[in-house]
Formats: sequence, structure tokens, C-alpha cells
Amino acid sequence: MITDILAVFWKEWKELYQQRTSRGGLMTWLIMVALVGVFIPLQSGAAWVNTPVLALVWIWPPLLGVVWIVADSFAGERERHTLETLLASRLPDQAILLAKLLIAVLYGWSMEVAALIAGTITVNLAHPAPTGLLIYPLGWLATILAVSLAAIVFICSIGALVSLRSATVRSAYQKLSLTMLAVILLPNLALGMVSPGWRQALLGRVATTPVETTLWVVIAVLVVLDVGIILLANQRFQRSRLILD
Amino acid sequence: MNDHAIVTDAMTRDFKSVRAVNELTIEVPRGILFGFLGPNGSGKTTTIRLLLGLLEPNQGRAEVLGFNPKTQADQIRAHCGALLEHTGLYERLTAEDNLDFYGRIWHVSAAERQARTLELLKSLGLWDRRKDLVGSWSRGMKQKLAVARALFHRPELIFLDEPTSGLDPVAASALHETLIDLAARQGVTVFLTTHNLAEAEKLCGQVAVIHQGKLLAQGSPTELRAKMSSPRVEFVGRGFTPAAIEALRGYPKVTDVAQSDGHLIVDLKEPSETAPLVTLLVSKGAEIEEVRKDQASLEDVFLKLVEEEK
Repeated sequence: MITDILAVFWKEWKELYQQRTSRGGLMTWLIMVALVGVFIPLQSGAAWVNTPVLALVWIWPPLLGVVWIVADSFAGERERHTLETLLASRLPDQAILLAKLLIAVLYGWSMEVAALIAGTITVNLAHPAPTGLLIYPLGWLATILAVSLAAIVFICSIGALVSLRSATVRSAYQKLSLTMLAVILLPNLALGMVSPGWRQALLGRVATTPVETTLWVVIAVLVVLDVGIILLANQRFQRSRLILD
Repeated sequence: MNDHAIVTDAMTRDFKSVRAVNELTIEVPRGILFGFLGPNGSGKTTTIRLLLGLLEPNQGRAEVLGFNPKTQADQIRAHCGALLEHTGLYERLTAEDNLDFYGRIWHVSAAERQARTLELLKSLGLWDRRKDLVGSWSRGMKQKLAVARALFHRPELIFLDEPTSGLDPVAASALHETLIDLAARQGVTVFLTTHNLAEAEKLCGQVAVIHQGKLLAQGSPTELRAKMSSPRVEFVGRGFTPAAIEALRGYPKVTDVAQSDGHLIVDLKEPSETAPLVTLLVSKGAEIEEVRKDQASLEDVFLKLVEEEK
């Protein structure tokens, strides 16, 4: 199974490298890293490292970066007529699905990791502190990395599910963008639907809980959702359905 | 069962109200080139998908290399190679990478992958372009590469859907040689769909004709020709007088005689020697320059079968 996953991963990486100048390619990766790892830290100064919420807020570009990759995962193969040949090979279903998820997750998460490293270097070069090296507090660094990983896996697993059922990459991209919008708006809508008393109590609880604790609750919820969606995608991965779609 | 690479028994597949494959019963012996012939939309691609376990039949059963496509599709795909309706090549990868990817899928070692890439690309005349992205290639070159990919892991059974479509005559001929060699020397079974009936006649040990999902005939091209058409002799010459024609019509094995432009076409009940007919014509004053023994081609048989079914 590992060899099969690596085989598909190798192909996905090669394709990603070859399309380095197009959307979802290496150029996008570099632009996003330059934005989050150089431009924003230059503007923020030492606060970029000392106030880690800033770095946390800027985890969204990697999330956007994976959308095109994951939309392309199955819909792209279908659109370019390579899916049927791939399905006619000896590859197990799970190997195809997991390898495609893995490449998208690594693409997005490596963007976040690279941006954090670049941010530290940028801040220390542009705004050196007399006290020594400026680095993120370790607890916060772990939290940012965990939140971004859980969120990227969430986007990728939803994306794979959408891409499995889409005829073209564009259609998958549109559906995935709408799904992301719904996910972002859903908590606000849900909050608007509960009684004012409940809402106040809930917001009060969040305000009094340390931010890091709240974030770990969010991570736990995302991990549960990630597992559920990946299992669902695995169930939806049926060769006959993929071919007839 | 083991003498056959493929056996189907009343295999049927419906798509809503359309019956794509209708109680198909065929037997494909191991180690031959098997031609699966039929007009567009006759169910050839669906049959391949059913045999590879990519679709499930609604009724009937099949066995491919001793495995059941319904429950052992993974084993079938592990032992088969396929060139389907589309080439299925990754156009953003080089030719080398395309082959390397499929070699990795079939767990071919790195050294063997390298050797096989060299062997196949050289034999198909693609070696010099191995570093090019496949997207920049012509249709014929892509088709050749797709064939190489299907053969790469040395499968026991290969499904080839229109493999010579888009190939120039030289490349098609080279592929024919490769396929003949695969079946004859390496014992590989080749399941070939084609519209090119001359190709099927030249290559295939056995053919099946399918129309609207239904099997119309199966056998060797010679058997089908013999079964579907009466033998015919054509005489070229002069002096085919009414008396000579009447004498021929009276001959016991002759069913019909037609004359046109110095040619005399004689339909026979069964294959028989032509010497007595020549003697008869000469005795009636005819001068014969040429005698052609004619038999319907596979194309004639195919068209006749499809026409009868309509």
C-alpha cells in the first residue's frame, strides 16, 4: 500500500513541478510564501513573532492555495481522460485517494511551514532585536502548525469529495469555493439562530477561555471532521461510479 | 476453463433503458490475438470495462484469467494491461515519466523500468523524444506510447481498444509485428477491438462480431468466411457464349453464373476444384486467360452479419 501511495505521489509531484507557472503550481506556492513569509512580516515588524495571533490570522493563504490542487485531483484526471486508465491499473482505491490527499496537504502545509520560517528570518533581518533572536513562543508555534494542518486536511478532504463527483476542474473549483464560503458563514448563521441568552453565554465562555485552549478545541473538532470526511470520500470512491460520472 | 483467458456466460449490462451488453457468451483461448469487432456503440468498450471489473454486469457471469471480475477485480487488473478508448497519458509529463509511473504502479524495479523504457521506446521509434512533454506530441506518437505503457509490465492479458487508430502504416505494421510476437512467442493473450477489419483478418486467430451488445458470430476469420459466404470463381477471358454459360449452369456444384465485361462470375455450393469448370468452358469454345478463386473478406462477413441483424 505504501509503495502504491508513493507511486501516485511521485506522479502528482512530477505534474506539479511541470506546471510550475500555472495556477496551483510551484509559482503559486512561492508567491504565497513570499506574501505570508516576507511581505507581511516586513510590515508587521517584531509583532509578527511576538504576537503570534497575527501569524495565526495569516494561515488563510495556504488554505486558498490548496483549493485548485485538490479540485484538480479527480476532476482533472477525468477532464484529461486519464482517470479510466488509472482506474484500470492495479492500484488500490485507498492508495489513489490517500496519495492525492497527501500531495494537496503537503503542498498547503509546506507553504505554511515555509512562511513561518521565512517570517522569522525576515523579522530578524529587517527588525533585529537588541535582546537577541526573535522566535515564536513554542506553544504558539505548535498551535499554529496544528491549526493550519487540521484546516488544510479539512479543505483537502472536502475538496477530494467534491472533485470525485465533478466533471471538470472548473466545476469542482466553483463547488469547492461555495462550500468554503458556506463553512465560513455557517458558525455565524448558527450563532444567529440560537436564543440571545445562549449566544451571550457562549461568547462569554469563549472570551474567558484562553485563546490557546479554544484553538485546541477547534483543532479537535477539525480532526474529527477530517476523519469523518476522509472515510466518506473513501466510501464514495467506487470505480464504476467514477467511470460513469 | 484454464485453457481460456476469458470466458463470459450470458453477461448483460444495462444503462437505464439501454442494454449495452446483451447476454454475451464468448470464450477467448489463451495466447491468441482475439478480435472483438462491432460498429460504434455496439458495446465493445462496455465489455472491456466489465471484464476489467470497472463495471458490474446486471446478469450473467465472467471469468478473466480464472478470476471473477465481480469479486476479484484487483487480481484481474494486476495481471492485465489496457489501452482504453483514450490514451490516458499524462500530457504534463515526459514520455519517460509516463512509463516510469506505470512501472512504479506495477512494482517494476528501477533497473527493469529503465531497461524496459529503453527497449519499448526504441522499438517504437520514440527514444529520441523521451524527454519531451507528451502534450507536445502528435496523436500517432501518443498512441504508440500508450501501447508501450500497456505492454510495460509484461501482462498476461492485454486489452487494446483501437490500438492502431491514428498510426501511420509503418507504425501500424510495426505494432502488428509486436502483437503477433507477443501472442506467438510470449503466450500473451491480446483482446483487440478494431474497426479495421483487414487488420483483424491479418492478426487475429479468432474474432467475435458484436452488434447492439449481442454476439452475432465467433470463430476464426476463415471459419466465419466459410460459414457466411459461398465460394466463388471468376474467369477472365473471351468466348463466354450462351451455350458455355448454360453448360456451367447445368454443372451440379454451380449455384449461379453471371457475366460482365469479359468476366464470368460463378458461385459454387461448396469449395471445389476449378479444373473441371475450366475444361467445360474450353470445350464450349471459351478462351481463358485467368482464373481467380474468390472468397468473401472478413469485411463482407461483418457487413452481412450486421445487415442480417438489422
